[in-house]
Amino acid sequence: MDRQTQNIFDAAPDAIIVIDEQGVITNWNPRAEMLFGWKAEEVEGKSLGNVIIPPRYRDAHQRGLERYLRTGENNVLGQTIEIQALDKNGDELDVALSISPAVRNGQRYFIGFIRDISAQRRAQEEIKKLNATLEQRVSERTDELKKSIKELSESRSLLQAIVDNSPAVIYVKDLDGRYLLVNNRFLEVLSISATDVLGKMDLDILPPEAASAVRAMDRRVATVGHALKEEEFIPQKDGVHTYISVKSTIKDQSGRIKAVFGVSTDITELKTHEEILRKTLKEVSDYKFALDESSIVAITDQKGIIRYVNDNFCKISKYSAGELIGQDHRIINSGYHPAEYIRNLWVTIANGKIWRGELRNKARDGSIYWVDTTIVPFLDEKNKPYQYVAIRADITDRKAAEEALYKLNEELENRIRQRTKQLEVANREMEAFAYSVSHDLRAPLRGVVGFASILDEDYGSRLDEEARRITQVIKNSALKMGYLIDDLLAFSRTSRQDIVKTNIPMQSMVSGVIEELAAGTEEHSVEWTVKDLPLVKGDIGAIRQVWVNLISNALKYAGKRETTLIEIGSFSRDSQVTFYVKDNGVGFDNKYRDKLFKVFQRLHAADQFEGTGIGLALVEKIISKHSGTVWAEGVPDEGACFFFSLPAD
Amino acid sequence: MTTVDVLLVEDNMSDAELTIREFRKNRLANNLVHVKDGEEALEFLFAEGKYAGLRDSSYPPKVVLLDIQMPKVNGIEVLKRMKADDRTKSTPVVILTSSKEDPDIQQCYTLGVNSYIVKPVNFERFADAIRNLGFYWLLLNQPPHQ
Repeated sequence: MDRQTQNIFDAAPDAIIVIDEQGVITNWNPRAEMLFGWKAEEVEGKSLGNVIIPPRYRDAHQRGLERYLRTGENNVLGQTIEIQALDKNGDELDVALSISPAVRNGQRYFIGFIRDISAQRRAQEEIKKLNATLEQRVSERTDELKKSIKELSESRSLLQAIVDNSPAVIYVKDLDGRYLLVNNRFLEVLSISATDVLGKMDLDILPPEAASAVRAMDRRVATVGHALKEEEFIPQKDGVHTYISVKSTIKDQSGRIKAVFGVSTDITELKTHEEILRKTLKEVSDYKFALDESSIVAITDQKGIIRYVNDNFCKISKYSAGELIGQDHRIINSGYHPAEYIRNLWVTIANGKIWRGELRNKARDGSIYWVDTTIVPFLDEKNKPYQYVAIRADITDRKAAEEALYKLNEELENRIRQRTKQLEVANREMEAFAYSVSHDLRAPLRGVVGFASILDEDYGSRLDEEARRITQVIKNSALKMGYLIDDLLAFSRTSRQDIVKTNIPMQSMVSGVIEELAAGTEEHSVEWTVKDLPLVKGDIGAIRQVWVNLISNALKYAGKRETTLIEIGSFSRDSQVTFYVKDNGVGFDNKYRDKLFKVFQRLHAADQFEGTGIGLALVEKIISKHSGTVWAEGVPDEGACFFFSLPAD
Repeated sequence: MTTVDVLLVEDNMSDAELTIREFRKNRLANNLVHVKDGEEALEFLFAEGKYAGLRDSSYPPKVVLLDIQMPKVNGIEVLKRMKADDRTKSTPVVILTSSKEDPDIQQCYTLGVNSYIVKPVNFERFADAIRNLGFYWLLLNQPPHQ
């Protein structure tokens, strides 16, 4: 080798090995020494195969060499192949080999350039491994990512579904107030479509006042930078709804607010219910107040232990609330009521029924008070009493008044009984008196009349006219007295007698009376007019007497006319039936009509018309006993009309 | 004194006189006995007291004219006693009285009186009543079997 070649040979960074046709090493450069560890003197002259070729390649090497030598074909020349070689220690090295054939002095040589690519190879391996790992990781990461994306997507769908179907109104607006997102509920409550909202502002979808209020809150949220919860009032088709709106901000990566989102819940109904509840609570509170002010109230548990008393209770029982609570009602028991009464009270309320009654209680100082009590059981869901509310009113005064009234009543009853007895006695005395009068007065009268008659009869012939006249006067006077006595007795009897009311056949009664009385008036012509008379109720005997008296009066006071006209009739007025007897006789001066009905009062002289003056008084007495009235009208020399009224049926 | 037609029991002398006079005028007074009160009436009827042994009580009068108000024993009493005794219970009794008071009338009829006449004050009427009475009970009426 020449110098230049030698330099190149020595300085080459790769191992250069030259072998001859037999495969024996002829040249071994320093790099080869470094790479394989063999010194040139050690390996020159040795077969390459035995030195650096791993056993598994030795055959292929040998055959390849021989093939080339023979045919000139080969697989390796002029290429760089990567292969393993052995070093002095027997360790395998990864090398890059390139063989060039050469001829020197007519002999074929092979120059092999070998580079240790172990490091390279290792690095390659490393890289490969790294790559593989990376690949693995990327694959895993991709899988993970795929999974994440899927989850995110599902999550997103779920969220979307939630947002869309939420009963709350959900929306997102940018800072200018343009709607970026709204859920279905939003569209529902405002009755608009998505296209009418997205990209639009509040002013486009709400009335100006509502819109500006909403925007004001948005701005507040954007300013404070955190969530706010406020009430918002949104006009909807069916009126203004109240919402609780929770709004917050959406920030971008740099922390700048880029959107406001909100969740609004309709609390209109809730507010209404709240209002109702508030009103109800107030009402209940008012009721309770009214109750406490007006009544005595106590609440006991189901065992009867006092749990609450109001001021009035303390006032009347003179115990303090502290003394009462925890006790049962025995503390105010006065022992007045029978056990049965109290037992009945408990049974009633234990069965869930209201008990009402009066109770007599004893206060702290021993004084007694009465209360009108209503006990109302409060029932639980099972309809069993869990507490009893007793509402009482102080009736002590009333009871005292009742007591007094009762006593007064008894006293009055007593007095009435006494008075009745007195009256009965008086009545009986009157009866006896009348009886006495009737009997004892008549007898001497009979005597007077009788003997005067005898005088007339037996001695009349011996008496002169005057004597006979005197005798007659004596008789008449006695007779008159007899009539007076009869009338007085009749009057007295009528006063004392009770009237017995039955149906009176007026028509037939009047006819009967007329017949009876007319029998004594043959000398006088009387024309009777009797109208239809209704049925009334009254004492038959007494009313008959009335007709007798009135009709006989009409006949008696007939006057000097040719024909006496007597008319009897009736008419109804208010609730009374009025009967009348009208005549065309002598009549009377109307200005004295009040005197007519008084006992013994007469408006005509005795010598003109006989009579005792009792008849009309008797009529008046009888009619007033029937709760009717009598009155009369008269015109002198023209006639009179007498009226009496009886209550209609 | 065996047969007595009329027993007049009357305490008022004037009334008695008027009554007897009437009977006499009509010739009905032949067998008329007048007693002044109820006690005497009973004594006469039952032949007791001052009349003991003087008559036969088994022959009662044809009619007894009886006043009510009398001293000692009144007419009601006499009536009761008469109705209680077999001898006199069938004897016709005519109450002749001033009283028209209803309880009296009722009571007498309940006791079984045959007739109740109120003595009128009017003399003519009184005379008529007596005369009718006399004729009726003494001549017209059939007395109970003696």
